Amino acid sequence: MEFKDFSLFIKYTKVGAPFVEALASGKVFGTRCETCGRTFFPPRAECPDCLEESMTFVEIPTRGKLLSFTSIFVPPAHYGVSPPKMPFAKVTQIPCPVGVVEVEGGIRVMGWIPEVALEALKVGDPFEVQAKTLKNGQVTIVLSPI
Amino acid sequence: MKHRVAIVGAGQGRFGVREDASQRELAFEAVAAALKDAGTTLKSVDSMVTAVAADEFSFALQPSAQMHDYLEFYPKANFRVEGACASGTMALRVGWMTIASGLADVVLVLGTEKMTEVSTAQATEIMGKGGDAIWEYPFGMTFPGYYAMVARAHMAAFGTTEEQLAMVAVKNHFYGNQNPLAHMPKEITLEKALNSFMVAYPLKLYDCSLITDGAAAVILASEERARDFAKPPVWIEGIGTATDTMRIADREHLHTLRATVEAAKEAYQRAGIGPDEIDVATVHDCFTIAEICAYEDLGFCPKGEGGALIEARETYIGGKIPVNVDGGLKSKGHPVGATGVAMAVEITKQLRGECGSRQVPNAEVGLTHNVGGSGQVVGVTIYRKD
Ligand SMILES: CC(C)(COP(=O)(O)OP(=O)(O)OC[C@H]1O[C@@H](n2cnc3c(N)ncnc32)[C@H](O)[C@@H]1OP(=O)(O)O)[C@@H](O)C(=O)NCCC(=O)NCCS
Ligand SMILES: [Zn+2]
Repeated sequence: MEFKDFSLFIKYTKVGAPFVEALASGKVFGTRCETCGRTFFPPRAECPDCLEESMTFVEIPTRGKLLSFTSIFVPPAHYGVSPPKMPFAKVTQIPCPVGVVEVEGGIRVMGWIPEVALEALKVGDPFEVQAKTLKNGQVTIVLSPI
Repeated sequence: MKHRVAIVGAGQGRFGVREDASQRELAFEAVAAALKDAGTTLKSVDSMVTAVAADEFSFALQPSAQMHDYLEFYPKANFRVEGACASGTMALRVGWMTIASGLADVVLVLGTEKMTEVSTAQATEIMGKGGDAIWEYPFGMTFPGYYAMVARAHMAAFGTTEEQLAMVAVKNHFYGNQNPLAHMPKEITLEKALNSFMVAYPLKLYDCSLITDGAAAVILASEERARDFAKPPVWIEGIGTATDTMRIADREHLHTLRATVEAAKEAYQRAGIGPDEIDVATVHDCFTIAEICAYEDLGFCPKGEGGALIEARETYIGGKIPVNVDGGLKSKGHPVGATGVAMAVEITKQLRGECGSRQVPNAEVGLTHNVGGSGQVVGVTIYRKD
């Protein structure tokens, strides 16, 4: 299967491929240490407590509450729009809010919030974490109100 | 602390969009100012440390070599120290260690960054990847974005308002206007700050520090040598350094910089004093919310009351604890690698009584607080007048 990009550098990690494939199938994966049982999100390949590489991928809980959010109006070059070719014209970008949800068990998940207007967002609102495949085949995480 | 180390010379060049000078020329301005301030030359300096945060701004590997080359400091020791926006304070720490360990008696600590040769969009990208490039940057995160999340969490927990954030900017521009070396020396009104364009909701233009070119330098000396220079020494009484998670999402409370709390605890303990004894402070106001968090996390007020502290003007001169009366990162500017050293320069000059219209009267004990990234590494330093 072709590698569905999640971020710029995830290809070069030990956990990237399973994580990205899981997102493509609608699941959000963390990892659990088989030695001590600790769960990690984002997934990681080694346990800092046990110094072991005995990890299994597990689905993380998806329901929780919104911890914080923002919407980025001055984006990095990578995410920005190019200047218009028409003289004196201006292009404005309407950014999608981003936030952090704390799911059951205390794991924190960052994601896009495409369905709610910025003004309507409130810290503490109940939210759900979902894996999402975009039209261009890229996979990502979205946060939706419950 | 076991060994006493003093600042015996301090200098800063003009901060700003410095299209007129290269990074090494900016560094030279600061080093020359620090050496003249100490009444000495590079001949009396044993060793050097250079802070530069990002190669992406310098367009070349080993920017520190450019500096010692242009200063003709060779063959004496010099290398680079990096701790993102706290690089300057980390270099100060290494300089302190070099003397405390007996490796050298006189050390030059230089901090410099030249940030404006790239566009704002590129600078935003370079700094955004200074968060977690694998796990946070995919969501378009930027530095203003990280602190916007801190702000939202602070507002939700404590009722902090956008007006209170703007008041920090008004104060820092008020004092920056009295600093001849500041990047943006102009006063602003609360309305102007509140009506500026949105950068990362709820942070607006005037909630953000500047993208700046600049350099700053201090000369450190051992206790044996501290009195051999032109001016009375300013003693480094306590150093604290602490770290926190890469991702802000993983912090227990998004509204608290735990690394600030821990670094401050260490610095206060080493200096044997508490926050009430600080007469003047420079804190890391990379965003207005960051200054409010710093008031609380450094112990200048209880957690959650930082907004009220600025509203009551307690961080102006004449208030409980004057903060960033050099204009801060907001108005003086924030050339990231230089910032920590520039803070030490300001506190040195405050404790010597050299700050003119923005002098804090009778200042004897000062504090600098320098944050790397969104709190991944923090340095707090406490200084005392001779
Ligand atoms: C806020 C920010 C995006 C604005 O940059 P920008 O959109 O490129 O702004 P421009 O350079 O186009 O300038 C627009 C105007 O605002 C002014 N300006 C730029 N940055 C400013 C700031 N931070 N505060 C106040 N005014 C600012 C410019 O001087 C210019 O004024 P003019 O029209 O009178 O000439 C940029 O300053 C920034 O990213 N700051 C944060 C830097 C940062 O993250 N540092 C690391 C923190 S640890
Ligand atoms: Zn384990």
